[in-house]
Amino acid sequence: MLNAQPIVPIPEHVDYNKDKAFIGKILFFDPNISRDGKVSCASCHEPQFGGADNKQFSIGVFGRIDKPMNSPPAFNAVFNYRQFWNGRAKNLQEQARMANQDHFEMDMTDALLEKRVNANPMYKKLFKNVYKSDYITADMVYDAIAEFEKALITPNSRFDKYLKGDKKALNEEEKRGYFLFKAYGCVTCHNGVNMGGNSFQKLGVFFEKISLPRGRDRYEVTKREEDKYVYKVPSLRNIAVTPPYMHNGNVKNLKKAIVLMGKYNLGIDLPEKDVDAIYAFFQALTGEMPKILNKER
Amino acid sequence: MKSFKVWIAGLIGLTVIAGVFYFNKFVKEYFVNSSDILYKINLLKEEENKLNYHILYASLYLYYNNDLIATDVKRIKSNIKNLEFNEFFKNHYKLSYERFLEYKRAFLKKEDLVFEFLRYNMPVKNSFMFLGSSIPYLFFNTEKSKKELLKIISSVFLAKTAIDDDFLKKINLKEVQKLLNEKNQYNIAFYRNLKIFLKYFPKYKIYLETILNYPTERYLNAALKSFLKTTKIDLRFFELLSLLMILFILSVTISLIVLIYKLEEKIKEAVFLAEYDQLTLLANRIKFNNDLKKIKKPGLIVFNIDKFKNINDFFGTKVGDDVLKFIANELVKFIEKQMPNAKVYRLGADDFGILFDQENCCKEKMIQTAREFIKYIESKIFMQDNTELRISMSAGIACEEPLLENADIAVKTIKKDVKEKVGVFEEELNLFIKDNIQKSNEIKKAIEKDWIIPYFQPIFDKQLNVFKYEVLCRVKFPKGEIRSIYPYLGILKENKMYHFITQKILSHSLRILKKYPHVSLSINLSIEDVINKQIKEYIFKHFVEYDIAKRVTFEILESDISDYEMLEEFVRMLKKYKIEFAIDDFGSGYSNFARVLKLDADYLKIDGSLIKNIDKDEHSKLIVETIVDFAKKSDMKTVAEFVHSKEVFEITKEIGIDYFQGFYLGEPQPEEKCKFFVKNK
Repeated sequence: MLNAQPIVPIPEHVDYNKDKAFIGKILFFDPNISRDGKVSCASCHEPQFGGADNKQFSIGVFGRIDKPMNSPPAFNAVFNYRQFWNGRAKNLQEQARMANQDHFEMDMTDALLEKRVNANPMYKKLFKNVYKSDYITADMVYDAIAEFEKALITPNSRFDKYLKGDKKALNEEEKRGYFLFKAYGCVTCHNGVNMGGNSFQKLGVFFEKISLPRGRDRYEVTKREEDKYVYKVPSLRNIAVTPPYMHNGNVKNLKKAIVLMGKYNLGIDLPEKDVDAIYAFFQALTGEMPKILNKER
Repeated sequence: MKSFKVWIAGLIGLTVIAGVFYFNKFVKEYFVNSSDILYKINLLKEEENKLNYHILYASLYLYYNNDLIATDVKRIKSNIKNLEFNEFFKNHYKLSYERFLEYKRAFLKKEDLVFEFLRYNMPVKNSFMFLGSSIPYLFFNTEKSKKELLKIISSVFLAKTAIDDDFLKKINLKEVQKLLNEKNQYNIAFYRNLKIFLKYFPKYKIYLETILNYPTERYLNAALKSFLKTTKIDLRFFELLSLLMILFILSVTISLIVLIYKLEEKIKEAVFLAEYDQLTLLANRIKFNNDLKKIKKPGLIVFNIDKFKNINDFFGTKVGDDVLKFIANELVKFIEKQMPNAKVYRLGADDFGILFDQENCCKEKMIQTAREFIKYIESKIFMQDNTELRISMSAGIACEEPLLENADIAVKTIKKDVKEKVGVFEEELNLFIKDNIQKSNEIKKAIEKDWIIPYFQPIFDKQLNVFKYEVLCRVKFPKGEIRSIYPYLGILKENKMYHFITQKILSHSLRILKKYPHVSLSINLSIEDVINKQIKEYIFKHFVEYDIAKRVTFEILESDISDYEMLEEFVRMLKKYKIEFAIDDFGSGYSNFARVLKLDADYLKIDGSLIKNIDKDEHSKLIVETIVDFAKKSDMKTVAEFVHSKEVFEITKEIGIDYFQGFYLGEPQPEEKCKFFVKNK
């Protein structure tokens, strides 16, 4: 029961339905499931940016922008306790539906989505084979996408190899960074498989007032005063390749993000060499590309 | 009514089977479902404990993996969902289900609380860690301030370890600020972290206590308790139902035994009724047929009471029955002594049978036994109500299949013999029967296919002019073979088909009479025809026209006549229309002159047996002379049949017979060969 390491490596395999995921993969890259037919899931969750995009704010249908929220990575999202910054979706299916129907994202309705996919003979055939139904329901679409997202995992980062026993996988500086990461208390929030994603925490515990825009925080869900500025702890997996940082994406530099988090949530001004070490450690968190993206099927 | 009862019984049976089947299925499902529910409730309890443990762990240890809590929560929620949609749980354990729903609501609140707690746990943990690790880096103004700060740190440690905020009450942040007034980076961080710790710790403590004491487990226990209570009631119900079922099956079994017992009695009775004759208590024909199959080489003696019908007619059926009983008793006694292996049956009204195995008994023994019994019975005098009766019997013996039929033939054959009382079936007898059957089939077909044709034999007067024709019947088979009707007469009369032939002959005759107006015909009628309503009607409808009637003579066989009065009436009525009558074969039997006279016939046809030897037999000549004399005195004409030679013709002419018929003068011929028909046209 006693687990000395608060962080667990990403498993190399997760169970998922390959047939459903195949459909989900096509849907994930299909802009036709957005209202203006120009935005796909992959528009904001691009594989080359760790399942996120490199913009501060993602661009939805008709150029709409959901200020001030930065899109979180779709990679490893399956390990999150909740989805979205404020955890308003309980699972991947809900996330897919909410994103699909969000005014700023794809702005669809169940009815419109069903109309679009049912008009496509390829989808009709694929869904018929897997879901044994002549009519594709919106729930089937979300289910297929969720199944695909289950497969979006990035195992075998150097750090995971280290956790799995390969002590040479990290260099001395990175190892020191990991120790500092634990010693400063970063790990208190950034733990588990995803190094985050499993609790809600307040940004800027050490500040009475913070001058950042709140955006869609936990308060939007619970309407409790104390939930203002409370967000789902973001995952640090692939952190080096998923700039910009913070919920509003206003920090482009990872080192600056480390310094800021020290200030905001630890109440400490982290010394520069310690920041460097933690930064070095973060470089070891980039995993392999999800296998499902490599294969045609 | 009976089939209705059977249906009801079948329906009840099916219902019971269906009931047992359904009960079995229900109980099985019940236990599978309820044990599943029980397992899941217990699993929830276990998972609740695990979750509490993980929360406590998260609060106490510096390093912690929140995934464990998230996983716990997800697993519990999936279990809750599973139970929530368990229809059996919902419907059958209503109270328990309500408790469970309370639990569900409580758990959802608890989930919120858990993540709230994690939110407070984080700063408390981090600041606690910082306060502990900062001591070496702090800058103190004085020893006193150092002591004070160390005191504060120890209070923080005690509070965190004991989870008791009482330790923090003495800490005054403003005083601490004074103690740390030196602007050192660590001093500032220390102050900030202490402030956070003090701010978050009370809430952290409340959340932790609230979560660990949250009443989820209480609801779960309530659900469990209620569940077990319902189960206990159910079990008692099942027990009762099983008991009822056992009682029911027991009662069904008992009633089945009783019914089967009764049925066996009834079957015995029915078998007795079916297989035994109620009068004589002998086995009957059904039993005979059954027993027959069991014997490899069976033999049969059939005893028949002679003229039993007369006994019934003269003395009444009661005496007849007594006779049968008497014979049955005597026969059984006799056979027991003589042929212990044989069995006695009543095979028909007055037929008794003795069935035995030929291995135990030879034919001679059978004949001897039959004779002895008949002798014995005929020596006895049957006394009944002062009536003395002597009973005579005949017996037939058969050793070849079909036994009954063969023995019957043997009896019938022997009846014709006055001296012999016991007949044995031989194959020749059978051939006779077969011949009869064949003839019967032939004549039936002939009637059906209209193969009956008339032949005409001329009757001449003294000057050898054709006076009239006698219509004779022939059967013309498809290959051209012409046969006399004579061999078929017996069968026709026995089968009551004779009138069909007469009908054909009458219609042919009518046709001829109409076609050749100068021809007169003499047509044979039997006494049966005279009685037959259809024939009578036909004659009265078609033969009474003057032109026809005056050319018709009906010949009636003298020996046939039994009912003179009826015939007299018939003759009298037709004579009105000038139809003439002839008595056929007169002089063959006991000719009754007085009666013939009464009939007022026009012709006497003298029997052929008297005519054919008249040239050699003086006796025949004498009789014929007497008949002719009688006829002349009675104003009747005579006809000689069987005139087959010149000698016979001459003598009969000399005696004074009026008309002549025979092969010497003219053979019977079909219509188309009768030259006379055409010649005089």
